[in-house]
Formats: sequence, structure tokens, C-alpha cells
Amino acid sequence: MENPFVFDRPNNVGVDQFIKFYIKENIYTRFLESTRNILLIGVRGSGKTSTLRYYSFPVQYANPEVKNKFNVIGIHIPSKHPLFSKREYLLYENNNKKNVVVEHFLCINIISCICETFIESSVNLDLTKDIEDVILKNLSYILESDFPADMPLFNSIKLFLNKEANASQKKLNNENFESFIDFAFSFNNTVIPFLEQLKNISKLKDSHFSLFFDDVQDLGSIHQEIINSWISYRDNKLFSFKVATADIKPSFITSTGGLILEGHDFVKIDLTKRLYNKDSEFNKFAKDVISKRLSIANIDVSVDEFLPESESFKLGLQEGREKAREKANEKYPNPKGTQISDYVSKYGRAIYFRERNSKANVPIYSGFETLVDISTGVIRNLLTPVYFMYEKESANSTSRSITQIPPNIQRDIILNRSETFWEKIKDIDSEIDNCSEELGKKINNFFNQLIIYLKKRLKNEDISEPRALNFIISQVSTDEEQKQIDEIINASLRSTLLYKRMVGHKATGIKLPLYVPNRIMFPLYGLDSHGQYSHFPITAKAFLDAALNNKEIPFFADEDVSDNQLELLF
Amino acid sequence: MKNKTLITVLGWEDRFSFGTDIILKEYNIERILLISFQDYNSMNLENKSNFLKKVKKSNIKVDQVELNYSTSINNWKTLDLFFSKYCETSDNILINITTIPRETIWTLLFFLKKVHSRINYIYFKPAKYCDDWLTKNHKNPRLLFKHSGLFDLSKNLVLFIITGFDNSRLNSLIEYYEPSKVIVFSQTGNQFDNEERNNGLNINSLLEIEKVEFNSYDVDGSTNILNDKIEEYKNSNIIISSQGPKLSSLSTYKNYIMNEEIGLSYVPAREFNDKYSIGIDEDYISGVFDFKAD
Repeated sequence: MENPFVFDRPNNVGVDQFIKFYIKENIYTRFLESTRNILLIGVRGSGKTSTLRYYSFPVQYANPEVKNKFNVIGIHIPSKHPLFSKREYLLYENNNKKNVVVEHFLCINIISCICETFIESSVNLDLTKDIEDVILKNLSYILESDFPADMPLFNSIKLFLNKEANASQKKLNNENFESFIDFAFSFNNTVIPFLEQLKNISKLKDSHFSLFFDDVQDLGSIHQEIINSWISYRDNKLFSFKVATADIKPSFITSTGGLILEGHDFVKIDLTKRLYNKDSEFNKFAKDVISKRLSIANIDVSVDEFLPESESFKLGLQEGREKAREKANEKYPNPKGTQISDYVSKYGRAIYFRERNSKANVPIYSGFETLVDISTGVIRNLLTPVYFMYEKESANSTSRSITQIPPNIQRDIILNRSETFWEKIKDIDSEIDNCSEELGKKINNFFNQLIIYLKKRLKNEDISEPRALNFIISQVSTDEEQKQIDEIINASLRSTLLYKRMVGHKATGIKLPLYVPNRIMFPLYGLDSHGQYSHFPITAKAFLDAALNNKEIPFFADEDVSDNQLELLF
Repeated sequence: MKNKTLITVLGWEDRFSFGTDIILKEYNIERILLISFQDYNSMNLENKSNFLKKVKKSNIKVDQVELNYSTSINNWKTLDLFFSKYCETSDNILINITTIPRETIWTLLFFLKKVHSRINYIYFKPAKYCDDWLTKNHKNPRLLFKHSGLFDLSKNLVLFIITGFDNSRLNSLIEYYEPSKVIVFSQTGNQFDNEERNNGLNINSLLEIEKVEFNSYDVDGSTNILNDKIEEYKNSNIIISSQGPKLSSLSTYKNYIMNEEIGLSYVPAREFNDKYSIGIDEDYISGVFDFKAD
């Protein structure tokens, strides 16, 4: 049986299959269905492509839940095409010419994706031969080109585009390089007239076209500047842009050197908010995702039955909670309100993890909650281990139907992935672009020291949040310090060793970044990946000492001050 | 042979200086185009000084071109300028590809193709490769200027990778291009512990991978194998990257001449091991590279 937890690229999945698998998150709906420009920010694997694909026209058209299918026509425009890896434009000395070449291929891709959208969705647009002829005749006049006859409208335009793309690539690769410039497409002279022509189709006469640029971080800076210039167009009646990026610092510069502004030119949606959430929003979402896949695969068990927690792990946690309760009873002989239960919830897990025999094997990491923890709020991090667990259990099992992943298999896969993650950290200089051996060493030093620090926290009985895993960097005193820290942090973010959220200091209102370590790093060291809704500060000096000189991060229990509260910024 | 012009890239490995000795002894070199990469000057100082002494002694004219490994645009423009003034008309050109980065081999072939119908090549294997890493700190892959293929908007991407000992380059290619399929061409034989070292594919089980064995040292044979596969995947966009022995750059270029739809991709490294290889295998490989598309 096919593994139901496959996390393939969403574009590779058929529309019907996609509708079955996708879990809609209603909080984004009003933005993604709107006619405003939207910037969707999310780390790799956080569901950006799935979200855009869900709101794309072929999926909306096929989705029985969608009522007004023609109001907003979502066009999914992937950026991961080798056409955008071409670099010949860099050979032009003149910046305007570079822009012309890049814009040309972006426009070809947009119109091609629009054609694909209507071809793929097999939609009944009530197209008559007369309407097709009018559109082709007008486009022929506007683009000064002939279109192939005797085929459906969008196939004809697509074929014309393929021919144009081929001819323009040949020009760039050959000697008549300069001749390219006079024939290039621009957004104004091709995409807008094309969209206007589509209004001749009765079903599209009131439609708004929403252009979904996906993974723009994979495009060059000139490409991104051109898209930003289009975003700065004020009239969003005919079209708008929904731009998804995994870039931790997306560029807002336009090709004329201006800036697009949040709130004014676009609205930002941050998918990273799942990374650090007090409530169980991601937990619920993750459960829905697994549950839906079990249901599609006709596996008639609950998520918790499918991913059971090991008895010894459960028992250990229970014993931890009991010990915490005993301590709470001693500490609060006359408890008020929820003092006892608060204490148990804060220290129960910590007691289990800290009191384990140092020579014992690591805990049997298992259970749905543990999987949610190690996913750090990233859906790909949740599904990938379950995929491998399912594969392993299928290989071991003689049964045709897998109805449970035994805890020992869950543990094996979790530990294997944790080990692989640490191998990735070890070879970080080879893993990501622009990471020197020296920077790789600093990253290794820091994360090794972070583990040592977290172990010390866990073992300390005097602090209020022994299982805090997230940190802020405090007391940065010079620009040079900041620069050194940024280099290490940015490389760690790019390689998803860390995730970042902006938070506000409750007392002062100051915005600052909160760093969330990828929790798959903890099982290999027997640490608790569950964490707590809290953070700890690492001073700039301690951070750099750890990274540069492999020095331990100093730990003082009294530094955990209660007025250091943070709140999420959305 | 008379009036032979040698094109070579200054290298810090033993096989550069030993190879130069063999060339000067066995070929009648009258002129040399010496390309050096400024960013590796410090590693090349000794070899450069010895090289210039040798050629001076032999009364050979030397043209020097300086490139910078980290700026591919300027390198292209520099070579473009150099070849715009290039006046060699005879096909008696010998290119020593031993220490030339693959991207520069392709670039040189592009400019030489404009003037020559064929050239001669020579390649020296080392006695041994370093047991440690060879290159590190890779940049994102890049398509070679003017060889970036003719991609069709509707087709899937199939990535052809000729593997070598730099395994991280292999994985960075796959991550960067996210192809729908990868064809891995691995070198046959156990020379230089090939079987153990040439196995770094970090297999993503969701990605379709086809493995093909071939011998890069046989330029014509590997060209044919590559060409058969290109024919097989002609309904896909194809990008080829060569990480294997340098001779595979010749096979891939020949394939490009025959199929301009394919793109040639290179993964640059920022760090090279200064003990990349040791010694030289005097049993060198040489041949004629014909620019005809047959």
C-alpha cells in the first residue's frame, strides 16, 4: 500500500488528491481570497506552496466547497524553473537591459502559467469560436505575432509562448545578444493586455486575477525587484500579487530603487507564528493532518492509537509528575488556586528527564505529542518522520494494513533523524551556500554549548522554567558584536537549525527576535523536546564566547527573572 | 608537430609542474596562454615561478590572462576580450585540462570553437588524491553563460550528474534545482578508491534516481552514453553537471554541441585543499576534440 504520509512537492500531486489531503487554515482565507497584495512568509516546509496551490483556480474550481469559483482566479506561478537560473542577463553592462531580459522571462512565465491554469482545470468557460477569434486577433495585433490556429485558445497561446521562449533563449545564447532587447515582453505590454483580453470571456468578465508567485527566494535579486515594482502598482482591480518566500529578510526594493511598504503596498502573513505558540493551534492542525491521511488510507484508528506513546515513557512521565506533586505539597502546605497543578506541569517532565540514569539509554521518544514537539511547528518536519516510520513498519510487518507504529520504531526513526540532523550541523559549511569552514566551526561550537547549557537548565531545581528551549540574545553593545552574531544566526536560520519569531517585550514594548532551535536536535542528547512557553537570555558576550572560543554558556538561576515576559507579534 | 600553442591554467598540484615538464619535452610548444586565478596566487607562487623559469629557458612566448575564481561574469568578459584579439588560425592547439576548473574548460571551448575546428587535449591523473576533503564551502550551482540550454516551460527537469569525490557538490545540485528525476553517472573502476569515495548521494527516497556507470577517461565512449540518455529524455529539460574526472567536461561539452537544448551547470567551491593531489601518473591521456556536431 502507498505510504499515506508522503510529503511530496504539492505541485506534483493531482488536484483531486490535493483537495483530499489539504487541511484548510481558515485564518488565512480572507487574505488569500482578497484582492490585496499579500506577502506570505514561511520557512521551508511550512506549507507556503500548499497554501498557494489550494487557492489556485484549478483546485478552487474542482473543490465542491467553493461557491464563487470565478470571483478570484488564483494563478500559481512557481519560481523553481531552470529558465530563471539563466544568467546571460548579467553580461549586459547596462542595468536597464538586465531588467528588460529578466522581465521578459517573468512575463512569459506568468502568461504561460495562466494558460496552464485554464488548460489544467478543464473549466467550462463557455468559450465560443467567435470569442476565441476575437481574443487571438486582438493579441495578434497587440503582440505583433501570429498565433497557431485550429487548437483551443489557451493551447494556442501556450504554443506561441513556447516558441517565443525558445527564440529568446536562442538569442541570449547566440551572437545576436543585443537584438533581444527590442523584442522583449514587459508586464505593461503583455501581461496586462492579456488579462484585459480574458475579460472578453463572459465567465471571467468580473474576475480578479491573483498572481501567486511561489518561492521567490529562489529568484535573483533583479527578479525580486521587478516583482516588487509590480506590487507597487496601486490599481488592484484587475490583478494582485500573492508572493510567498522563505527568505528570512525579504527585499522590499523595487527596480527603480524605491521601496514597497507593509500595510500600504502589501499585507504580510507570517506562517512562522506556529513556531512559538502558547495555545495548541499547531497541535490541532498537526492532528488534523495525520488524521486525514489515516482516513484517506482507510486506517480506521485515532491518531493517538496510530502513534502510541511508549509505556515506559508514559510511566516515567507519570512518575515525574507524582514526584513533582510531592514536592509541591511540601512547598505549598496551604496551596492557593492552581499552585499545585502549575508546579506539576512545570516540573513533572523536567524531573523525569533530569533524574534518568546518565548511563541509561535515551528515553523511548514516541507518541503524537512528541512528534509535534520535534516538528517545531513545521509541517514537513512532522510528516517526514512519520513517512519513514510507516516505511519501516511496512518492511517489518507481515500485515497488509499498518494500524500502529510501535514506539520502538518511532524512537528509532526519531533518533536516526536527530543523528542525521547533527551530521548536517557538523558539515554545515558544505550544506549551505556562503558558509566558510570557520563559520561552520562557530555554528558547531554554539550548538554544542547550547546542548550543555540546556542540560544544566534541566538539572537545576531552582529555576522556574527548566525546560525552556528558546532564547533571545541580550546586551549587544557594539555594531561589531551584532555583525558577528548576525553572521552565525543568519547561517543557522538559512539551514533551519534555528527558526526566528519576532516578539515584543511586555514591559518595554521593544521588538526583538526570539530564536527557536529546531527541536529534532534534542532527542540524540536525551533532552526533552517538549519545551515550555518561555525563553532565556544569552548575552552577546556569552553567545560569541560559545561560538568563537567554545566556552560554556554561563548559567545563573537568578537570571531567569519574571519581568522578562514576551508576547508574540503577528 | 609545429607551432603548437599550449593553453594551461596555473595550479598548485604536483601534476601541474610535472605535467608541464612532460608537455615541454614531448610537444613542440612555441607559445603558451597561461591562465591564473588571482584568488589562488598564494597557493601557486612556487609553481608559477618555476613555470616561468622553464618557459623562459625554452624561449617560449607566454601570454598571461588573470581571472578571479569568484567572479564568473568578469572571467567571461576577460576571456571574451582576449579571444576577440586572438589571432591563432592553426588547429595546433593543445589544452592541458588537468588543473582547469570545469567551468573554465567549457568557457575556453566556447571561444576556441569560434576559431578552430578541432583542438588537442591532454590530461594528467595524479598519483594519489588527498584522503581528506578536496573542496569545501560550495556556492549555489550556476548555469554557464551562453550554455544555459533552451528550456521548455511545460517540461520537467531531469538532472544529469557525473559524480566525483566531492559529494556535497552533488547534493547541493539536487537541492538547488529540485529536478523531477536525477540520472547519476558514476565512474567505473576502483582507481583512487573510487568505489568507496564516489558514493555520496544523499538519497531522498522521494526522488527518482537512475544510476548509470561509465568511464569518463574514455571521452568518446562517455559522450555516446550521455547522448543516448539525452535522447531518452528529450521530452524533458536537461541540465548536466560534471563532478567527475576533468575529461568528463569534454564529453559534456561535446553533448552540448550536439544538443544545444541542454544546460551546463557548475558548482563552484570557495575552498580547495592545498594538498588536493599528490604526484603524477605519467601515463597521461590525450586526444583530439572535434567541434563538429556529429
